[in-house]
Amino acid sequence: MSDNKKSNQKKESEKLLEQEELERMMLISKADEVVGEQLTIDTEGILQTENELKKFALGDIDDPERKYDIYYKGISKLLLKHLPEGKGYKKARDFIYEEKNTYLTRGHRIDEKGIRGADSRMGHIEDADKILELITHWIIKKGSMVDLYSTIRDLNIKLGYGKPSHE
Amino acid sequence: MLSIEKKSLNNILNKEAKRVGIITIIKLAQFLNLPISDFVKVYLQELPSEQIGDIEKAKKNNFIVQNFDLPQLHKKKFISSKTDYDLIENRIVKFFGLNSIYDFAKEVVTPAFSRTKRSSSDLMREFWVQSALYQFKLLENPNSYSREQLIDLIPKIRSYTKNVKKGLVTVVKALFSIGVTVIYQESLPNISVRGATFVVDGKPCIVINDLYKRYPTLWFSLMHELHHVLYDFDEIQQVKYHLTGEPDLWLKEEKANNFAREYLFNEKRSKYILPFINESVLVKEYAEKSQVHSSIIYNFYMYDTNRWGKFKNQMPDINLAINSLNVNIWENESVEETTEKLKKEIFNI
Repeated sequence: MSDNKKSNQKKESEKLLEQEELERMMLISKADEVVGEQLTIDTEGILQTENELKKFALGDIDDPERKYDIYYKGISKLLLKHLPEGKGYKKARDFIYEEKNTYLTRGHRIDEKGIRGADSRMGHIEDADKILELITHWIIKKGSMVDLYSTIRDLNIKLGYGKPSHE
Repeated sequence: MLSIEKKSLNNILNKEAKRVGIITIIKLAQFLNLPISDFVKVYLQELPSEQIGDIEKAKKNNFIVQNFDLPQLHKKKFISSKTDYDLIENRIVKFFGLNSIYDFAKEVVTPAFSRTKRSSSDLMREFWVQSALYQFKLLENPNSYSREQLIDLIPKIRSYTKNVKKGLVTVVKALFSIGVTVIYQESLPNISVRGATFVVDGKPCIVINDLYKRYPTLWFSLMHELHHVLYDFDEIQQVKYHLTGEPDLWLKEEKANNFAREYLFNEKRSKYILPFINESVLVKEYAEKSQVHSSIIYNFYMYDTNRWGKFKNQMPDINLAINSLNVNIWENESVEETTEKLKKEIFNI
């Protein structure tokens, strides 16, 4: 083997080792960022991580024009899957949807006639991202309906969007 | 001419001789101008079936003695007798689901052992390894393995060390769902193995055991083996049929150990908490801040100072963690019985 080839091979393996070392460091420092239990396994034994929940909700986004729509639908898809079903929970579900929609329309609460006066298409992607984050976190933490409701409600009040009408 | 008594020779020629001495065999082989081995073959063909059975039995018993450490297996209560070879053969054949005892360890495997420095019994280790290998083959993890998903999952493991009862089993389930099969297999006398990594059907498989009967060691062992999965996967896949103990393997062991230490509770943190190690409230608080079970802090302290008795009472009961994973494999009739339990109770398949 020529000396040149040898030295190239050596360089290659050194580069690989360096990459490995970086990856190891990344794993350790990422572990430092994680607080609490963040793995959740659904009834079929499938692991759900935050990334997977997002993938379930959003799929592979390839159309930036429609990004907000996809987010909006993705959020509904997650809520539909993870909020309890049935008539008995309808009111509680509606409370949560109201808080979510208020947040996404930056404070447009539904009035007594059932009109919000804002369209989801007016939404901001960063708002949708925030709600998505809150919801995936809530799923992973296996929180209750009240947990999710009060998290978004408190956020709305903090941002000056007002209290829900039933309160 | 042959210096064999006429009566003896007649008995041999008439197939009436019960035993033929080795000297007679040599003499006859020379007379017939046959190599001794060929002569023995001809002679054996003519032997009555009961004598052939005897020879076969001796061969089988010899195989058992050569391949199994009977006193140790008896000590572990895996076999009920050290001398009843039929019983022993039956137990082993049934346990591994073999067609014949000779099928044992046909496939030689070389897992990346986490070996301690103490010498260990090769036979017991091979037995332990084969049992794990059979488990992985029968479990047949249906999930596909992706390294990226493992990279994503590893940072989330540490905080589960705090959950003694359910943490380990949750992590094991999560790993299974991304194609990494982890089993707990009770240690055997003399094996000095803390864990092992296999590649079965192209997927990583990990065994952890309770060599030191300490809760923190379970996690250390898991992280150590996960490091092998991440960085030695190709090699493990290749060396499946090679002997263990090559020098470079030891270097890899060092790296895997360092990773497990850095990941769980690094030396910098150990130094930080050292002046307060006797203040359990502070240690607990720091453990919480570091998202790790306090016993891991104590365990590293005991390792660093070699004072293994100092915080023994701070170790949680290891059985709480492994109860759901421990299927008492050595007491079960077969490996399959074990894997059926695991499939149903842990892996949900």
